Amino acid sequence: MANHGTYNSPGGFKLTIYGIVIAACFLLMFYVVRGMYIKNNPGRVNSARAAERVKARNELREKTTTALLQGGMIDTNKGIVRLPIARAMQLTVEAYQNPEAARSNLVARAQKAAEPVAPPSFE
Amino acid sequence: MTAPTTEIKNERRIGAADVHPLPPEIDYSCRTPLTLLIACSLLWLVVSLLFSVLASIKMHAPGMMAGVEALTYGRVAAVASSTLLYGFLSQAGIAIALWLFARMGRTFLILPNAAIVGGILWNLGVLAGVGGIMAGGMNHFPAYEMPSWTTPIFIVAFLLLGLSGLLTFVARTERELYPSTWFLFASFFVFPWISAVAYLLLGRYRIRPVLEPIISTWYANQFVLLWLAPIALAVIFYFISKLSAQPLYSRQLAVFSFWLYLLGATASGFQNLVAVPAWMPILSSTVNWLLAVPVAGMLYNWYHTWAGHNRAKKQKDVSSKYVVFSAVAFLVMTVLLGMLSFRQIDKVVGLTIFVTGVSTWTLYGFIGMAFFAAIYHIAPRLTEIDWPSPRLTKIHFGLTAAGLVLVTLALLLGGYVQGAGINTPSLPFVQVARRVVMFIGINSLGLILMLVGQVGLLWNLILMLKSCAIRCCGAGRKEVAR
Amino acid sequence: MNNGPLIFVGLLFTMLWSYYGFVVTNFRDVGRQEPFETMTGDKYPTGRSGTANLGQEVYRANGCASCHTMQARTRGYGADIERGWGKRNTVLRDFLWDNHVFLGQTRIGPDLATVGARNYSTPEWQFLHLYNPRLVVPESLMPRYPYLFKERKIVGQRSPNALALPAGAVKEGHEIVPTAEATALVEYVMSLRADTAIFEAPLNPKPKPAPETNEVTAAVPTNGPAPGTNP
Repeated sequence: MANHGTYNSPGGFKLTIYGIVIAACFLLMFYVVRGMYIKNNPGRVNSARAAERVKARNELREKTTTALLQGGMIDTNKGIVRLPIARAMQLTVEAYQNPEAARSNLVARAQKAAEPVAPPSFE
Repeated sequence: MTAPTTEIKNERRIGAADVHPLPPEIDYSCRTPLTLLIACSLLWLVVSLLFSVLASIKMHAPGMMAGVEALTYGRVAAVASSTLLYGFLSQAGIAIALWLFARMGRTFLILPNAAIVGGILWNLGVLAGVGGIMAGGMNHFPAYEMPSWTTPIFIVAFLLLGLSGLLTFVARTERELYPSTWFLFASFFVFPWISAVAYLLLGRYRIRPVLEPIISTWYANQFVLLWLAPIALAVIFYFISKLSAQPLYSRQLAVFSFWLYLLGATASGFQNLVAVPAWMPILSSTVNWLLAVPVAGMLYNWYHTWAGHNRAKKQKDVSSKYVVFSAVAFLVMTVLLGMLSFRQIDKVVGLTIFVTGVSTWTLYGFIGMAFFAAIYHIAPRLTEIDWPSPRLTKIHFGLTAAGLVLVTLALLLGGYVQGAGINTPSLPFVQVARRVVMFIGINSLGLILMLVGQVGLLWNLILMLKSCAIRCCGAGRKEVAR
Repeated sequence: MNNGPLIFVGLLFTMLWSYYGFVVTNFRDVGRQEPFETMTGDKYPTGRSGTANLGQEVYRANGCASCHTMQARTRGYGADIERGWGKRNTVLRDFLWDNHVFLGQTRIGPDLATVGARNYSTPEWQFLHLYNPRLVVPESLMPRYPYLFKERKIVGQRSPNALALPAGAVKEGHEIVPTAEATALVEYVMSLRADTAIFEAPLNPKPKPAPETNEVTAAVPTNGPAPGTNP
């Protein structure tokens, strides 16, 4: 580049500025196209319906995950609780260390639970 | 007195007697990047023609190599087209543009190392594209068959090459702009724009697919008529004036032709599409007829600059034949486009190989021949060695011209036969296809002639590069050793 | 015209007018098309099955669009309709649900816009045609696609998907079975039926011949067309 001053052509500084401007124009073209796309793109034909279905799926997943994994009270009056399956198995194993005691009030508990209850929240 | 180039490159010129660097010095500054670009482009040309011959033969021998997935007809045709457009035409076009920017601006090439890196990247991009097509990732867009993930490689490569070219333009010592520069400017402006559109809208973003045919046709048209063709026009303008040692006949006419050509060419391209909203084919057809005006203007300008001047020098120069062929091919291309835009003709030949013929003529006859003219002129000046085999240069022109005329006539006539057959409902389609086979055979023959010609050119270049390498590296060292 | 920036501005306007005219306006225009509601209340198009959508990728990867078009032209503009390539011209809305639109440019092979509706076109025919076109169309120029099929030894019973090849085409005790790609491709091809009449492409009827005389015809019933005729 040192020779250019001799030949009456712009020096290094001016060329660098022009270089940056030209590179910026190149990149600007991408942004113009991108801007047009973002402003005008209507999305896929069934994008509204697809969004509905995704929302419904997420809601369903949330509810079923809660029902399956989270503990909680179902009916405080009757003492009905929701337990993760593993925890229920644990409790059963513990209770049945003494099988006689565990079986003693089984019928009474079942009858009490059989009374009509409000349906669980996820139905 | 001008000292030999080998001494000048190591000295700073002092004194204000010369405002501009000498042409040999300019050529020397372009040497490495442009030799790389030109050599690689000619290599891709041979590859492209090989695949074209293969595709053409597969069309009349369809069972051939059918078990090889990577060589199925669709992929072979796509490779042939992509390597022609991106490997040969674009790359040679960039090389020629850089040289023209430097020579017309009378300045050294700026950022030659960036140009070298850009050139290497470009070739890697084409290689990746070819691999992607053969592996099954091709696109279905006419001029954009290479997988979309290769486009960023070209964009980065073009950023480097384009910076080199445009900064050379900025650094010019010759303030007056010759028409060629305007056309090159247009090309270098158009290419990044259409690449951005193609990459973002056809590759990266999810757009409504019904827009694909519109955007891809737009891209294909801009690619040929506004990226490649202006470089060819720049070459013709330059050599018409240079070889006849005359200034351009009318600058005002050139200005008028330039802007009208640009306006017209941007709206062309949709003349043969059927399923799109009707205003697009109609607009393109109308604009194709309007293009006759700037084309006539350019031809008039060229004719008056060229005819009758400096006959001796023109006959001696290898590039003359190519420049004249290219200029005439430009006229023929415009006439063919006009024919395609005429509804009565489009009814018959639309959606047939006629359109392929027009496209082949444009790419090889108009643009390719102009690029050959430039390469024949530039390469010896870069390497400082003349073409080693004058016989091969003569053969190259004969074979290329003969092969191309054969190919184009075969496709145009075959397209007419095909279209007439399709429009005869009582004729079963397979009979229509059978009638076209003969023309495809002639097409294969023409392509083989062209292939042989291009291998000759490549061989000529290899011999030249070998001599250059020996002179620059081998011979010097041998003398020192002695 | 020696001023670089001035030329740049001119070029910018030229490119912008083309870009705006062809790309942006169509984004707002064609790009916002919705399925058309027919007189019976159905929507057209209805979208293809998942396998057919996968078939589009196979169609694309093998370059089928280089020989086949999917744009049938209007009656009167060429003989596509008369040739049985459709009941009406193809429009972009036909491809509304597709991932790719393969309009194509050259007809080395027939137009495929309504190939699923043609009377010779059954899945079995399509599989045979894909495996070796010359089995069903003796003089066809279409290449074979054996790599889309698997040859395997018959174990127990023949597979229900095995191709019904003529004797001698495959080794004794072996059968040719389509791969998932061939199945997807054939399902896609069979789903190509761009024949429903929509607003921008009504069925292209033959033009009615002009009446021969000026006589008034016999009185026609005023309560609509006779039963049994198409409206």
